[in-house]
Amino acid sequence: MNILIVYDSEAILRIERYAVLSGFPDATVRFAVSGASALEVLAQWVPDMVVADYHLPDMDGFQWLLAVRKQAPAVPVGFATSETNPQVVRRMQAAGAVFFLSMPFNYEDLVAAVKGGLVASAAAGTVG
Amino acid sequence: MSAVLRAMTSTAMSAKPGFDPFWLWQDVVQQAARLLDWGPKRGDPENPSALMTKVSELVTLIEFLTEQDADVGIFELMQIDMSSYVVAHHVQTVFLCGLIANKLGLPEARRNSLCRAAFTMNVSAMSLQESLSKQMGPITPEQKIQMTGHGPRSRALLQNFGVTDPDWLQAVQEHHPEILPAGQVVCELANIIHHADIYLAKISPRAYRPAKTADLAAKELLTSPAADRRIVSILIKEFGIYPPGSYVALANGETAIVVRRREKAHTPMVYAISKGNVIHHTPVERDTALAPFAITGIVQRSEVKASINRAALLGYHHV
Repeated sequence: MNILIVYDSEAILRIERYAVLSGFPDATVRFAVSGASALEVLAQWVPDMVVADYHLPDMDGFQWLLAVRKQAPAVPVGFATSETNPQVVRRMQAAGAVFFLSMPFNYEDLVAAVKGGLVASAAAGTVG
Repeated sequence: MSAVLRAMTSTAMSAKPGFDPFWLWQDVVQQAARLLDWGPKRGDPENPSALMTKVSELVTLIEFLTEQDADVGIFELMQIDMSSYVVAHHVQTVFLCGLIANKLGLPEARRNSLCRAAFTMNVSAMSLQESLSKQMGPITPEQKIQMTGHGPRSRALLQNFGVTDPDWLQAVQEHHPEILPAGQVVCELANIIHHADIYLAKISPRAYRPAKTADLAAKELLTSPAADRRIVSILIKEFGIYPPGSYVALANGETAIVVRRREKAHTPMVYAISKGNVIHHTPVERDTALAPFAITGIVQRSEVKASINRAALLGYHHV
């Protein structure tokens, strides 16, 4: 299991890493601190899941999601973020985000979201 | 406060659970309406630079949707709410320009410039465009004078808003090549916009005339001496004779809706929705290559009473 976490806060990166490892102890977790650097990572490495903030330092989360879907269409992307605007949430879901988890959340919430996203993405992949 | 979890578990044709191009197309139209709602009546925007960023983001979304499923794009644009002609026309033009650019093999940067130009080509004439779309007759000589030169005026406005992309600006300036000095050749991007603009104007209903069919519009374009046959050929190939979202009559007397293009332009994928006054409880897929279901003509949208579940018809059963 390979997971890419995209946040510009080192503290949140650490928390999310612990959260992910609590549910996927054997996971390889890599980090990116901006939308652009995440795209660079994705150009060379294909994770099983990306977990990102909506509020990236260098670009809007929606535009970033479109870029990821174009560059790495098979990689599922979920968001764990402070953003709660229903219109934004709906837009991200419509563009194919596999989950949208609002802060604050606990480890179990994030692990459940990642697992749910993986299951849904795998099921969709078998249809597509 | 507990966390809010929205995990999507349904399947999607696009291999992305939850992917909903129909919602996103609606979102495109709403965003376009907000972005185009300025001009002389409201004064200059407070933050022109932010406005141009929003324009670029909207164009990116349209390009994304076109790449994901062009049939859905054509379907949505044929079904678009024409109550605001200005909004509908600009969204349609961006979409069509993107399709043409892809077929011509334009580099991504050129395509981006083209689509941004298509969205902003009339920024200096928004109010007049809206009035023209609602009046009961063709453009008057006075209105024609007002419209003349709106390309260069729009270019100047965009420059004031901070746009520096030379391809974007030139395409806006020249998108009505008839005003160019004799002998000046219109630039490639402006030429694409010009053809898309004319084609879409023909297939859109106006207050004083119904919409022309896609094949009639293409034939009229082809007979124009100034037409670029390469671009018109792409228009015909991409939109087809019966574009997705249009209604057709079948040989067996049914009315059907076109949902996807097929290799042969005259035999697209359709669903029969009614026969006479009887609306089918569930739309039925018909093979238009078979004689009983062959397409015999176009049905005007205003004549169709049946409502449809477009997501289901296009294979997005999870939406």
